[in-house]
Amino acid sequence: MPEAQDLSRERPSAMVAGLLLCRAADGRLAFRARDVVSVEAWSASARSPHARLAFGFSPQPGRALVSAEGDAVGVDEVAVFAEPSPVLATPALLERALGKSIAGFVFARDRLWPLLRLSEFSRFLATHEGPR
Amino acid sequence: MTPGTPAGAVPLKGLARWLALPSNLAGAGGGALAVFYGLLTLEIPAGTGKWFAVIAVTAVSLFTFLGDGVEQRAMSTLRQLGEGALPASPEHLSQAVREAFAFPDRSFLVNMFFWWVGTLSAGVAYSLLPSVTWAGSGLRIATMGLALGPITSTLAYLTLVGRSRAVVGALAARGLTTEQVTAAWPPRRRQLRARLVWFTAVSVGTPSLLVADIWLREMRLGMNAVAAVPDAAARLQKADELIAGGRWDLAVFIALVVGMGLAIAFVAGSTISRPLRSITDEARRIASGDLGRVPLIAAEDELWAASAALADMQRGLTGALSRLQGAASKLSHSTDQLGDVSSTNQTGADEQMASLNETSATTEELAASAAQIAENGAQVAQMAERTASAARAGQRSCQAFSYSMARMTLDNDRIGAAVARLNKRVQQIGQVVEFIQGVGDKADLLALNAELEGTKAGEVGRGFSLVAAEMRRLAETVVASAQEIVLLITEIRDRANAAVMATESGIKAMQSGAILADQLVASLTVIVELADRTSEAVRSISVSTQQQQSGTTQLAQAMSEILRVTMEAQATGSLTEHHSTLTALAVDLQQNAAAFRIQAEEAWDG
Repeated sequence: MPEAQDLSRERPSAMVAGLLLCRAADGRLAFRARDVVSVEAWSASARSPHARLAFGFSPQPGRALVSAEGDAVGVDEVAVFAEPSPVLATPALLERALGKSIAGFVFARDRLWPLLRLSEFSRFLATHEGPR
Repeated sequence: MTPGTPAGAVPLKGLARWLALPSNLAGAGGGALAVFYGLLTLEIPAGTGKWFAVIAVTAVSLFTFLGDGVEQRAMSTLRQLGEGALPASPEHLSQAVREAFAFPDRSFLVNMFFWWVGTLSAGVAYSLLPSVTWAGSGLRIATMGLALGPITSTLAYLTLVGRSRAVVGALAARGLTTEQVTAAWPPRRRQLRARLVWFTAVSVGTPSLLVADIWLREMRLGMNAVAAVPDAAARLQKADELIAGGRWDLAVFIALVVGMGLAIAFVAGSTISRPLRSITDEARRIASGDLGRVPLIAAEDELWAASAALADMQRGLTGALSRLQGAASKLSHSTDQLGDVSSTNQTGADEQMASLNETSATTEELAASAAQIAENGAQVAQMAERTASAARAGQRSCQAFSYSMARMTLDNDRIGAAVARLNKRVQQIGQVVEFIQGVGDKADLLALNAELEGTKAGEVGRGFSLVAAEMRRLAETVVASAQEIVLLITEIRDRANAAVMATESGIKAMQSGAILADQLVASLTVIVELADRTSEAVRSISVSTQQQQSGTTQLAQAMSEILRVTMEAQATGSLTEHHSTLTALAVDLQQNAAAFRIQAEEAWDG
């Protein structure tokens, strides 16, 4: 799907296929499958940040999504969603507030998921990470 | 009196010299007698008379001096005590006593030795003169020691014995008791008979020997003078002249020698009889009842033994009589008390008679009470028997309970061990489940990555993603099931721990119960034993009560007998009579014991 491959901020109605739908505490997160090189086990000894921090919770063992650059983010659960989903645009203010780590919102499984860029989100969490 | 000399005691200064003086005088006197005998019997060649006198005086002086030196050395302690060089302690006084006792015998041997050495030396010296021969005069002078030495030494000995006794008395007066003197010079072997034989032999033999020697010599000289006359008539006349002619000098010498023999016999008799008289006087004094301390009677041989025995006897008698007097006094006191008691008994006998009538009535009441007690005793015996049976039954039940408690404790132990083993197995299962959980988690991770790769591949990987998704669901199911197993295992472990704690609590309770059961068994054992003893005692009481019942009758009879005997004793008054006799005996014993006079300080020595 060329639309999904050419996703950009200037085209808020673009489609994306191949998502990783994640849960961290009571929050939902979505990552593009092509941004993730592998899924590994996350433990407290891992250096990568955990997405639970973004929701005000302490990290706990779960899964770690690893990007091609080596950045990683820990989540509680991961599910693969292969169906194409439309990507909704994100206000510029929100994008800047999140360090350009959010790419938009996708609608999947009857729910709205924030679509995040894995490497940027990892750095964003590391920048704003408090004591774990 | 020298300083430190007790009142009435002889000073010790000069005692050694005084003691040895008779020995020196006897030596000098015997020497003079020997010179006299030599002048009478020796054929002194012309010109040698002066040398004979010089040799005789020198020998007598020299050996008398040497003998005195030896004797003085034998009395060193006595001499130093006299000079004040030694204190008059009991040890030094005892040593001086030994020296004084031994001095007569020692002096006799010294005199005999120097007599023989002196006459032998004088004979040898005289025979060295040119006109004198050893066979003619020297040998005769030497043999004079054999003839005159014993008689002068014996006379000196007898004189010294008296002085040595006086010295011993003076030493004892300085602070030695008779026992200390006896300990210093204990009675030794019996020599009195040998001494008497020696005294007799010397007093008879020496004069006889010397007289015979003089007579034989005069006879030989007379016969030679008669034979030298050529005419027969002149020989008869010469013989008549010799027979008629007297020798006053020979008569004097013979008288001297015989006198010495008589002196020896006299002194010897006095030496023996003097301590015997003292011993006899002391024995009579003791026999008369005067038990004062026996003074020191110094003597020799058997006489010294008799003196020591007399002193021992006096001490023994003093102790015995002292105890006898004490016993007599106590007997008299006891007799007085007995008199008081007998008077009291007389009064009590009257009261006793009055009491006997009351006692008889009391005895009848006692018999009735005894019958009641016997009946009650039988009932108590039955109750005690039932109590013992019940206690035995309780003891058996308690023993069975104790056995059951022990079995339960054992079973609880086994249950506890089984639960512990189960807990261990559960822990092992938990480890296996944990391993399965880890495998499921890794399988889930692998399936997730596979599904991710399939999704990245797009339509090509869709089938692969579906398979991976199924694999992942399967892995999640395994993990969820393992989690449930973990929960179950946790619950089982908690329940097992609770069971273990409950078992341990049960074991402790069982042990406490077992201890209580044992204590209960022990208590019931004691109760059973006491119940048996009680039953036995009650039976004994019952039997005794029956015997008491029968004995009460005998008691009444015995009391009648006592009443009769009391009346008879009161009538005869025999106790008063015996008391009077005993009092008379005690007074008699006191008078007899008081007849012996014991010095106050000796009363309790023995």
